[in-house]
Amino acid sequence: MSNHLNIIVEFKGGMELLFDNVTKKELSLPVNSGEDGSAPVEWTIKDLINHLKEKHLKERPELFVNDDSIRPGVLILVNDVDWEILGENEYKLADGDKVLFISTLHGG
Amino acid sequence: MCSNLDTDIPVALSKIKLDQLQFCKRCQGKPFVVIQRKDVFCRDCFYEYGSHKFRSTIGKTRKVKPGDRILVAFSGGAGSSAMLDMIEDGLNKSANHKKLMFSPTILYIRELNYANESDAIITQKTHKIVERLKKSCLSSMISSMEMIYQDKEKPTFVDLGDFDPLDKDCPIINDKAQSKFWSKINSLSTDTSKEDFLRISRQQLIQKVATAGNFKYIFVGNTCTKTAIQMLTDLAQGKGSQITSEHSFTDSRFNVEILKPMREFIKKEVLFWNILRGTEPVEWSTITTFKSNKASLMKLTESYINGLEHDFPATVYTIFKTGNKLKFPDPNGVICKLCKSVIDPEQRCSASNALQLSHQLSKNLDDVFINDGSDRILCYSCNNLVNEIKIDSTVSPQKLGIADYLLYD
Repeated sequence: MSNHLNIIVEFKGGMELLFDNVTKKELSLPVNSGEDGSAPVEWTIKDLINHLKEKHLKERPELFVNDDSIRPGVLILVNDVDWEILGENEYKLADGDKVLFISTLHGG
Repeated sequence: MCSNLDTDIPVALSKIKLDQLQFCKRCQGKPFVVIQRKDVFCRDCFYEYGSHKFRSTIGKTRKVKPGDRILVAFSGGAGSSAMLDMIEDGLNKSANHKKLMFSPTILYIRELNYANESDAIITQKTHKIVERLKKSCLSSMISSMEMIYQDKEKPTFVDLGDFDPLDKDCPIINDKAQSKFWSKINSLSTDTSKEDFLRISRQQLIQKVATAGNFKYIFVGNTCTKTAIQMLTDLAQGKGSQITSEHSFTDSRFNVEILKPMREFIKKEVLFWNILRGTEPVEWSTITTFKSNKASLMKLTESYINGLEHDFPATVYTIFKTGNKLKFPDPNGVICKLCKSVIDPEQRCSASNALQLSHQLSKNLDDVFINDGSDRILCYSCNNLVNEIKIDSTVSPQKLGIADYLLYD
């Protein structure tokens, strides 16, 4: 049985430049019951970052990710709350979540 | 030792994290932001914390008096957007002791399209900034980067109401000055020099407007993070002796003193302030925006500090506070014509003397440096910058370079 997780992703502070100048995306992420393993059972922020990098990133990936995590200097907020409070990479996304990526870097 | 640090410390931090970060440290309310991995604030307490910090940064130096006319340099970016919002918020406070009493005017300097973005994006960004200014309760003026090469008799800024980005007759749109500006930028070979050139030009232009408008102080939105990055970059460029004059709260090298009311905020605080207050900053792309981390010294330093900050959240504060402890240079020293900083006093063993000697010996030259003896008019770093500008003339390069740089005397 497969299902979908609907979330909103936003980019600010220059991050949108890496995504074709799109500031807001509505994503429908496939959720798997876990049997065939083609999609995650639960989506963490880490999975989302990877997904964005693989499927949506238009410009240079090194300006978005560093190894497997977000590039230092980029802040993430989930539903307008600092992701550090929510467990950073390990936070499990819920239906309707709004995830904001915002760059602290000079000039975006 | 390094491997110990790599494995132990981040794990320890993440263990403390989730348990202890669930409540605002002041009111136990719902958390909004964590500063330095330990200080948790809810939205209301973060607002109080931010506006108090802004007021106290201005207040504790006792510089600004009620009624003082202040030019607020607004770039549209995160730092100056937060600054503008804090000023507007402070002017409207009902409690008298919390109210800001000075009289601010906004100056927006229109930048050039450094990152080669499409016209649509540039128009959109300019529109957003102009709309933000229109929304403000303060009066605004607009200038543009090319105005440092504006003809003497023409104005260098206009009121917001007189500005139309599409109107070719608008006095602050000057194609001739703009192409002169571009040719200067393009003659510089490295992005580090280009960034430096832009910074100095911007500083001089703001001074020019502030002097013309008879302002008492200039406010700039430099954050603590930016200051720390710039300090290290300056050090690497041989501007160590100028760090105190450039990066302290008061910068009195120029006609009009520059104050930095945002200098105690780290960039994260500024971004969360903007989110809290719903201000929408417009980040203008710079020369290095789409380039690698190694494009310029500043970009490299920025990614170095951000990388460190990730594991050691006190990095920025440590650099910033160390910079604050440095001694001011002797005000009676020789002043650099370009950056107006005090040049290293004549010392027998200064670093620049050593460099000069080594340069002479290695090239077997008698005397090539203009930083020499009684003619010392440029600091080491500005000297390098000026020498880089290519000039097709028989006039001695340093003289022509300086004359071209100097905007007013």
